[in-house]
Amino acid sequence: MKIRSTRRRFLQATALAGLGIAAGRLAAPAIAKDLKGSGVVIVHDGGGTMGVAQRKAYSEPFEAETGIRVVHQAGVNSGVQRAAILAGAPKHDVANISGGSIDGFAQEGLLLPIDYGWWEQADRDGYDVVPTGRFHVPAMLYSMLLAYDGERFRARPPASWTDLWNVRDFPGKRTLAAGTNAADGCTFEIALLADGVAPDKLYPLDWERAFRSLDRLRGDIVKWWANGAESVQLQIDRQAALGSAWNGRIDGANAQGGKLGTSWNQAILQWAAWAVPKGAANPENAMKYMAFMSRPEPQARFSELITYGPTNARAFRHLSAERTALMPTAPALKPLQIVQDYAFWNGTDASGQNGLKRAIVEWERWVSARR
Amino acid sequence: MGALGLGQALSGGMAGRRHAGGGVAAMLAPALALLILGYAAPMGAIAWTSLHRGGTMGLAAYAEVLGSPTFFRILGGTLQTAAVVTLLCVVLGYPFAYLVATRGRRHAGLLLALVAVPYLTSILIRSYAWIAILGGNGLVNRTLLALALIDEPLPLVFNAMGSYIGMVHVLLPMVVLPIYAAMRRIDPALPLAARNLGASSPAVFATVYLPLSAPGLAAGGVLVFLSALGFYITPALLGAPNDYLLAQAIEVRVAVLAEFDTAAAQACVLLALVGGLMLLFRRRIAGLAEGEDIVAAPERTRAGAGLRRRTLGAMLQRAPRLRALLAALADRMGACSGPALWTFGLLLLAFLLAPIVVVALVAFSSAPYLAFPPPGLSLRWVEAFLDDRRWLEAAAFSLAASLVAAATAVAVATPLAFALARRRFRGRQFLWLLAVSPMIVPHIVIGLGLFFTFVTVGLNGHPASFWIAYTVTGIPYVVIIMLSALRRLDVDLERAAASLGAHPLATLRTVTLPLLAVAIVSAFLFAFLTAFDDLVIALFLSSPRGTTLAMRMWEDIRLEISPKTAVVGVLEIAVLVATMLGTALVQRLRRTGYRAA
Repeated sequence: MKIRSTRRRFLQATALAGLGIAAGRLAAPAIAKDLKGSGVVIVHDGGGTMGVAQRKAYSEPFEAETGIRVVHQAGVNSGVQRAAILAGAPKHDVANISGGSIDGFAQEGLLLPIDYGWWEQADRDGYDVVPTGRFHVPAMLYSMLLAYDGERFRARPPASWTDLWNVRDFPGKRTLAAGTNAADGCTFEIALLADGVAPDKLYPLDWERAFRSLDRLRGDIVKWWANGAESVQLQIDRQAALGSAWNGRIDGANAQGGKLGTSWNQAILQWAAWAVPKGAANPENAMKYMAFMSRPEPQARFSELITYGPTNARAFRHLSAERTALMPTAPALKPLQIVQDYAFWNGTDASGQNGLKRAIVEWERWVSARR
Repeated sequence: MGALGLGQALSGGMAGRRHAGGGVAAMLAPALALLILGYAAPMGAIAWTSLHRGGTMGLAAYAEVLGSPTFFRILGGTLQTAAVVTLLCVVLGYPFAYLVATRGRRHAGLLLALVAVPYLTSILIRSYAWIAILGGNGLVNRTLLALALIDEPLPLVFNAMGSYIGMVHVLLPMVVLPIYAAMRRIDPALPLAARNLGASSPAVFATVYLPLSAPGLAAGGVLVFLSALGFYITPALLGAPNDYLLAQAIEVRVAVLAEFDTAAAQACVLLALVGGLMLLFRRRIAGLAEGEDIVAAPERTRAGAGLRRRTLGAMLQRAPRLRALLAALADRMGACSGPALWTFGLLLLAFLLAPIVVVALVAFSSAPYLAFPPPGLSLRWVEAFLDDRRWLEAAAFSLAASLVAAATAVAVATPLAFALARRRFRGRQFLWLLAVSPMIVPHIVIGLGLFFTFVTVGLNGHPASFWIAYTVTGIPYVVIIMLSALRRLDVDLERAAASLGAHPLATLRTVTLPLLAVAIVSAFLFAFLTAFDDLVIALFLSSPRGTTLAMRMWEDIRLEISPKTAVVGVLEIAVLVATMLGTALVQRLRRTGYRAA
């Protein structure tokens, strides 16, 4: 079975790491902090393959090491999460919040400061692409890619967002994230990049130009996708020939026999964070769980099970070269991508609205104008 | 008072009226208590929220909503979509109910259950099935292409048509069941008498049958219209890229922006508009089915002429073109009775069941992902479901919560409907609107309000919170369906029982309730299915102590649609079929029992 073989590989990897430590090749201290405790911790569950990966890589070994029982509880959208914290009854001790929303939570005082006392300093330093914050720890890195029908465009595959807009050379219906996904869907960034905006000039987003660009593609959109499952299913079913999709979803579909091609060129690199909501029932256990998740071995294990990149760069030492190549933060891929600017999305503009609100208001106006 | 008083109150005939005041109170109290805790209080919290922005009280949220042309465009589009869907459901559902009530009586249970089946599959998997059928590479287009009837795939989905198909598919039972319940009550002697007096078939239909079934038609229309207002997932999955309905705007404000004040304001505007419309036209709706001015003794079946004069007949008098249209329709129906009607019925059933067949095939697929047609058959996904303790626990929890809540809704809202139908008391219209409005307010707003309320009263995370919430969402179905059924109930039968010396409770048990059986069962069914299918409210109420099956599915579906969700649909259908067979068996046994006695 697949899982067993990955576990074996993981054990081999850890054994090798252990040897490395014994040989003094690694600088990290050999003894991890003692996280033993009691009681429970209620953690966000991403569902599906992600939930399984989280359980195998983090929760089960954490339970074995600490004696703290981990309860997985279904994740909820950020609005529901916010309501729960405001009401004083957060859904999780360890919440998962998208990078596009995390600053808002912190600014409103809805999160507890992270206790880095449970961490190895080396692990904290390992968060190189996105550093740890006072109220959050980057949980995983993923990327919004150009995906296309690999068979149909075998001779000349599309290689940029501009190609996605080029209906003549790359015929077929398109699918992009609905604008209501705001930052998470990347549709506005993609529309501007397709229109020729240079990556370093992307932010602050020029809304007018983005919608003018979307105007041109509107007739060729079969569907604005609402969630990650839909983005890939539309292509698997050949309802759409090209579109945007998250790298993990594409890999998942291809592992099951899909034949989607991808381009990492100008892909949008995104991240989600772990945080402890104010009012959490088990804050100390939550801090311990987050410290455990910062360790390189469990992170590597997680990335073995699902292609979401480790946030602690030290985890790459435990990942095979072939697996590393699939990660958004693989050395060969990282330079091709654009890191999404969450500071822009959370900041307010001249109209007093933050990026999320502005995107949704403008999107509603645009999409309802031509029913 | 106790059981005796309640029985008297419920039976509501001559005997009950002596205890009028106390009777009404007893009939209303349980429903009112639940509606206050589970609906009025949360909505109060929401209204309060809508009046506060940044800690100061004011109308800022309303100013933002009402000052936005976009909001009115979206609202207009939503009302239009709901109206079209209602019209389609009525046009398709009425002849079908007619078929079942007049020609398919022997198989009525089966036919009606088949209509309800689409309700039993998760909304996402159902939508996927439609894409598999209607999409560019779907069954229909592939068949037509293979037959060389078309050169290019027809655009059947991802446009207005896809959206209407998806919505009509699931909302059809909501008009068919109440119309059927009304038709069942029509005395077959009446059309016969009209015919003997020389009326042509179309005339009989337009002047006798249609007016007598009108209350069911109105109840069904109201149910569909209100439900359609809250739809957004189906149009979002199957509709045109630019379909954007109000429920979605509200959902985005709660779930993505956490802007509770504007979400609440939008919901309040919708409630005010739709509630106002319903109150304004209450005579029309009421005359056809609803609460206003329902006299102490209900309209009797044989009072068809009077009913017609007051309502539909009056409308027809004033609208000769409508009358002509109806006559033409009736003519068609009369002419094509028999075989043509059956053909229509079977085509409609095929339309309703086609996606279910796809779902069933997918559930037994051997593919590791969602693909249609499946490359092979296997039990791997059934096993995957049955092996998953978390899914099984969630299924058991959903089943228990929905069953208990649906039973509670029927138990508390049936007396409420009796009171609304048979008693005059102050604030009836308001109470009626309160009871049906959980259907108007988008569930995400109710969920948000419930959450704040439950945290305040210490019920957060308690399984009872689901029970209260789902009872409240079930009450509108029970009230609307029972009101339409009660209107058609012949009160003379109850009086006869009473005059023959039957105890009020005995009358209730042996006369009233059996006469209402079809209505009670369909009310229960809708209350149950609404609870079982709910995802939105569960998002707020879920805790380690209570997670529903819909939430487990959603958890998975967000990232990948696996055939496992199809398995759930198939199991649900299996349960329905087993229940139906069981009921049929019991009925048969009882009938033979009667004969033996």
